[in-house]
Amino acid sequence: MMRMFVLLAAVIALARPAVAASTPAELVQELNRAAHSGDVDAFTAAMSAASRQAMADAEAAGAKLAAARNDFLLTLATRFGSAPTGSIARVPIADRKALLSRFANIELVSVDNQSADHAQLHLKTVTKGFGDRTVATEDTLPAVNEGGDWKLDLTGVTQSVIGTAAQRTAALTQVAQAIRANAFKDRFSAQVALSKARRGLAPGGTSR
Amino acid sequence: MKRSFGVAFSAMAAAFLLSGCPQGTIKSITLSPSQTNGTSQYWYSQNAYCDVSLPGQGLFTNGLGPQTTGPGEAYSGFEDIYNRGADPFPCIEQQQTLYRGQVFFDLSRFDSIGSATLSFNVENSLAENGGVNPQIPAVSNATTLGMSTGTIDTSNGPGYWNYDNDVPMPSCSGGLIQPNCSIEVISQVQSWVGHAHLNFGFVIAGPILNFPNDLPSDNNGNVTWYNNFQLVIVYNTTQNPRAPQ
Repeated sequence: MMRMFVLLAAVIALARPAVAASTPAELVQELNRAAHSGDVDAFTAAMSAASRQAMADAEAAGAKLAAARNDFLLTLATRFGSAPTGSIARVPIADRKALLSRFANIELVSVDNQSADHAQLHLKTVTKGFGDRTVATEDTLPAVNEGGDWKLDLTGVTQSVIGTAAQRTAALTQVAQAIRANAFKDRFSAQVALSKARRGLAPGGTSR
Repeated sequence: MKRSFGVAFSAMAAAFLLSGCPQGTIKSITLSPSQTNGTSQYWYSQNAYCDVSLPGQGLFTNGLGPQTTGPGEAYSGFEDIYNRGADPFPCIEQQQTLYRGQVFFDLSRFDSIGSATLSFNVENSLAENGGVNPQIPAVSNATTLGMSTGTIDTSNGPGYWNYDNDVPMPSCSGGLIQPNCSIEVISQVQSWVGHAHLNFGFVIAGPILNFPNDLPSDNNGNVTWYNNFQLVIVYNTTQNPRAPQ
């Protein structure tokens, strides 16, 4: 038990931002500092505890999506054969640090204090988008005060992405199961079904 | 029927020209490809909401992965995917995937040829515009036939993407008479057998050849799968002593 406490304390200590944010403005300063320096731990630590848990859940959802995609490809190849297929991402997301480098600036436009521990932050975010162009967006995001430190609360955002990943995992799994059940007369039919699932359409209509 | 006549006419014309040679026998051979490949590239964009919520792991949730090819197949086409996301924190995703096919024939036994005709079937095709519709009969969406300039590195190993000396692809569609598409390729094949160009095979590309400056905000797509590739070569046996006599 003591050992577990020590480990948890170490994790929490590592996850703390270098600078505590006693105000929403300091929180935004910390987000900018972390983004510009590629400090992933500090950026993550500036999120609320619920957000960090949601991020962990999202990464697990991502791993399930990747596994479902691999299983689909293996099932397709086993049932219908496969040929060499190269695939290249032109804008690869290599790692967290690379992602942070896309944040050019985060500006606090205004703060709507809803209580002592909750506020709505109106943020103007400038990110590097397609072709290195910058894109400015303005959003209102919740922030919470956790033990004197203001944190950004992105739980809702993350839950939305988890839902998307889960939906796509289900689509891949469903079509892979149908392939194993010999529901498709050929490879093309299976690919049509997946294409429909990709677009959020009912995958039926092409099975025999 | 018109295409079949075109192939036959080309072969006869080549035989006629080659018959002027003093020796040897005019022969025709049908080659099957030594390899077929499909390669895709995708360019994507996602807004800050997607990034913030998933800082890393490369989890780009858009789409379910690129289309695949079966044995002996090559594909060509494109797919756009646009997800507006859901309020109040819309994770906006845009992606365009371009598909290109590659077909390689072993021509190492030939030194000089009289004619060369590439034939194949337009096997299947998809039209995507909000829905996903198999095209019946299948339609060839490729617009360009190029000479591959070699491989590039992809996440799945070497892929064939770049090309030169491109010519327009004919308009073809699937049908009962097969092969249902053919194109004269004597200049390409002669370049390969004459060692004027390294032989990395043909690249089939289009209708979109390059990524646009702005990723499209639509869900359009056209992808065609081709198979049953054949290369019909007419040659003089005297000029090709290593070829079947």
